[in-house]
Amino acid sequence: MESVRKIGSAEIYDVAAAWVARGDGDPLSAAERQDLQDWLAADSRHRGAFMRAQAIYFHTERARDLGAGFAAGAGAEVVPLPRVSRRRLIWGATGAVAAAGLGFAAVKTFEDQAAKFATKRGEIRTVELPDGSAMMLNTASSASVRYGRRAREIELFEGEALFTVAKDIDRLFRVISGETVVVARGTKFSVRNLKSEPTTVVVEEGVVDVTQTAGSEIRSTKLMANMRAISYSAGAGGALVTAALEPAVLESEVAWRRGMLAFRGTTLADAVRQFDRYGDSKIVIADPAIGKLPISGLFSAYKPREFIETVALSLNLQIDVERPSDRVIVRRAL
Amino acid sequence: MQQHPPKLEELQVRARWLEQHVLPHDAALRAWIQKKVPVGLDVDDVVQEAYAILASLDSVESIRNPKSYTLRVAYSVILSHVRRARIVPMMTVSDVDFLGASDDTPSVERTVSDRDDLRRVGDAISELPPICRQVFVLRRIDGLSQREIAERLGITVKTVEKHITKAVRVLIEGFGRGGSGQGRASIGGQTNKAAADEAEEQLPALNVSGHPDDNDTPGGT
Repeated sequence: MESVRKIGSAEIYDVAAAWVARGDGDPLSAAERQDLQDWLAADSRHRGAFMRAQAIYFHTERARDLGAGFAAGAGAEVVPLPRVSRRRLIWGATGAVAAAGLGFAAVKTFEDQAAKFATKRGEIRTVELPDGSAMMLNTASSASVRYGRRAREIELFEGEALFTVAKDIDRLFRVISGETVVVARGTKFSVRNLKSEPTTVVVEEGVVDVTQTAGSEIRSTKLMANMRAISYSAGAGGALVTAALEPAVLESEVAWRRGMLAFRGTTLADAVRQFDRYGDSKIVIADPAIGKLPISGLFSAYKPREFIETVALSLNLQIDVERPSDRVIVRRAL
Repeated sequence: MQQHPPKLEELQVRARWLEQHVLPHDAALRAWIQKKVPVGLDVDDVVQEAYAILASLDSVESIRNPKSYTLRVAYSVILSHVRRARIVPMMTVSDVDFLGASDDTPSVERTVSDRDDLRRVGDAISELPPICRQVFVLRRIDGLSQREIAERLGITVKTVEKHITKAVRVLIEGFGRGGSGQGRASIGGQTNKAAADEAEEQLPALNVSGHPDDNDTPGGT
């Protein structure tokens, strides 16, 4: 027979709540850590109660969204959050003036209540916001969403996302990608943040403001529909370059949302890199000169083999499949 | 399950995941257990055991539907209890058939960012005793540290901690239940009845081994 449990779940929650509160204060001493470990190890219900209590406590961070008005109602002596200008909010969010009072307050308000979303390689996923806006995350991407009273803020850590923004005059829609900030209202645009490339913003509908804080300089530009901005990091010169896009180019920029990759004079090496974003393409280019060959076409992002076979045919390349690795070696045909 | 107890830091990371993916379904979970739990087994025990199992998983990354996964974990807890106690399970064959229904849960994304949910957290905090509430608001909304709150209010850090403990305790009680007991919606987001009905429809198939073991199974378990 199982051991008889004398202590009820309510008492366990009492202890769990006390540990959560203690963990919320100064760092635990070594002895306290040991006490907590021992208590958690003693009974699975202890662990469960502690985890649930901790999760609930985390959840109350969302109360920050309630803001100063709510706090004042609680009778606490609090300084209401000052109205922050749009400009300050932008800088606050980038951290450029995080030390300045107002900017910091704005950052702090949004801090910690972000929901994080990520896609694995090959996965495309749409996240809906309560206002009807949507964020479609491309393969191997991660972003956080902070949905506040004054602003809707997305931080794109890596990868690519398409934003369809519902109009909301009171709330900015802000996307942060490294040193680049895009501010929009009702519009449709995508942002790409890959380690090997500068941040790229493409607008399909409406207008967005793109601001870049690479180094000490601040650059800002308005981007209209069918335009692209490339924002180089400080290390890469810090330029903000805009260009109008031909419809075909625009189409290739946004083909990913249909699971397609579109190339127009893209080098073979770059194209293979793009396939690798969606999964291991297993394509190995044996000769660097082949990698520089330009290719064009629309391909399924999930069928690298089909792609390389088509390319080999049109460029007269030889492909050999290596066993058992299944790697496809691309060579110049003899 | 878990041979080595997870590090406290790892538990914090997991608690964050639980907050985002499991807590939104807390009311549904509790309501469903309430309907299924056999005599002699406490709902809170099952909830705690279920959270313990979720905490002990090596990885949660591959769990695509945390709600159905959690319900299956809870079901496995009930089953293992039933087997130990050698009593007849309350679940019938038709129940299990029911569980095979579609798995089309509303996205966590939507649940997490639900504005009503925010309001409920606010309501729960509003119902705390005055000093306790003040401490909690200073900590959670204004972001003051426990030490700073102690200085501002002229009380000891230990007292601040006691108020936070009290607040957490009240929130635990309110979460997933009927709030202040006046029949209004729970903090978890739904009325218990609605949540139970919804959970019923969306439970996926389960296996009789009592382990949540299907395509949602995380790697390494």
